[in-house]
Amino acid sequence: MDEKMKYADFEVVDFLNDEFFIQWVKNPGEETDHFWLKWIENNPDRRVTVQKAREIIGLVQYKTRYELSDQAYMDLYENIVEKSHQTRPDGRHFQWSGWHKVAAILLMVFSAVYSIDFFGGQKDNPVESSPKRTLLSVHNPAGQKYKFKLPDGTVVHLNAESSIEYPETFAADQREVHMTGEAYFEVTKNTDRPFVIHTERNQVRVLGTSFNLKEGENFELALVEGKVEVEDPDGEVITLLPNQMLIKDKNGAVSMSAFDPMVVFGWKDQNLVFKDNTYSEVLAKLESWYGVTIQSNLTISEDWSYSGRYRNKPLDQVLDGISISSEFKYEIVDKTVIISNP
Amino acid sequence: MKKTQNKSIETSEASAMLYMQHSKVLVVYTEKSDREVWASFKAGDEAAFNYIYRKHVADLYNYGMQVCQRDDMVRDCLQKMFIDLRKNQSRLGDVQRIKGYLFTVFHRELFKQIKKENKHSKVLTSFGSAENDFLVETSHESKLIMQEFASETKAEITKALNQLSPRQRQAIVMLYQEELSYQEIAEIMDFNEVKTARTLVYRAMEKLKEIFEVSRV
Repeated sequence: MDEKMKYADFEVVDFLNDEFFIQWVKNPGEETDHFWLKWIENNPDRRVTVQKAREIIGLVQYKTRYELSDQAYMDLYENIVEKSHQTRPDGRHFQWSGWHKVAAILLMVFSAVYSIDFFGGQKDNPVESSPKRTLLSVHNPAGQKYKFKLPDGTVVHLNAESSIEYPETFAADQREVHMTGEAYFEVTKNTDRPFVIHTERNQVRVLGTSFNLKEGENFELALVEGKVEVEDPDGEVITLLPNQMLIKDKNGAVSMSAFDPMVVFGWKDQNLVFKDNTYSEVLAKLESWYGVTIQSNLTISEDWSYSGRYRNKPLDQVLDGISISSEFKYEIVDKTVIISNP
Repeated sequence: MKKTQNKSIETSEASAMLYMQHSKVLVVYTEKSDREVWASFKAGDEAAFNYIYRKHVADLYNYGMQVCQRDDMVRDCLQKMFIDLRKNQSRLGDVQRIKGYLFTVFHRELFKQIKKENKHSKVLTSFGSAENDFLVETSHESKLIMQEFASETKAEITKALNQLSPRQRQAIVMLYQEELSYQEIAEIMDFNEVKTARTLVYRAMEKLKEIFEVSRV
């Protein structure tokens, strides 16, 4: 408990100076993982700070790493053993016998293997199929979007109120991630290792493509390029082609249509887009986008709908825009917005 | 001729047997704590020494080269250090973390040699204080998945790191790259207090603060 309190007001510099934190970054183990992943989960506002510190620690490397040649490795070893055992108790000169050399060579071979076991299992070797794969997760609360890369180079734009879980190293046969909410994927092509996204109700399988995936009330997948297969728990597979959008509702009803990229995934380029949205849809979008709570006692007509696009605009400007066409007044107090009749 | 042949067959059989024994022993060592491995070494176990040598010699060599960029001197010091350790085997103390211990002993050995050489020669060999000691680079292929920093920012971080004092860089590299503790770093760098090592890193990072506290766009 004390430990957790201690980290509450840590800045990047403090994390960079903390041995327990460094240990986790360099050599994550069960214990450190447990602590830090939990801590980040409980302190979502500190995630960026932690990430920065992690990245800096990971970045620091020797500019030149000097390697001892195999020959020098052997010679040095021979000299050491020979010179530290010059005479035996019985007075005979120590025989530098063949087995020492064999041993030294073997040891080099083993060291290669072991270094994979020790350190590579989690970091360097993507084909290592360790059952203890370290899982990383990113969770965006309302009001926060995030763009980052997976270990295979795949770019993920994660929308607000969404999360994704992935291993620090992908398995040899496939690249698996779990997600909730909405994300835009630019999957690095690798025909030998399919990329599989598990959502709560579906499984999406691709080789290398770009698409937007959202699972809320409906499951929606808009494909930009490449080919995607969607499988539901019953094993039913639907294949999508570029420019097609698949919508499955909760009951499993399926529809396919064309889509407007700006409306579907304009969000990833900071576009807040409304397209014939109802009043409650507009409020839900604003809450998610800005991480606010909206209280409204506005009387609205039944046929109210709104379309509009805002790129990188603050909340008050968006509200001004909407209120011009609909007439209402609003008040923003901290993270709460109150909308009322004019 | 025939005799020699027989002998070589015997040797290869012996080698094969040792191969088997050795591989078993090695597996055993990888599961042991540093303290146990060190105790075996002290008790005269040749395989334990082998294991220690194999595991640490590359890091030690690189460290020596970071300090003085002199291959011959680094190798001589390594050799001398390991020979001394073997000769005094049974009299050595207990060691909790072998890497930190070897770094400390090796650093002392290097320091001694460089001092000795500087007395006799007009060309001064630098020791952990020259501009090109412990230069760092930020890796392009970060293993970390999230990328908070743009590549320009990374370049800035590298530049700033390389403008720190060599002592500061050394502490940072030993902490992040060699994964040594402040306690070990203090011993290696010959500080009286562990706090000094901690402060050295903290001050260094404070200088970089402006770069990495800029919020992401």
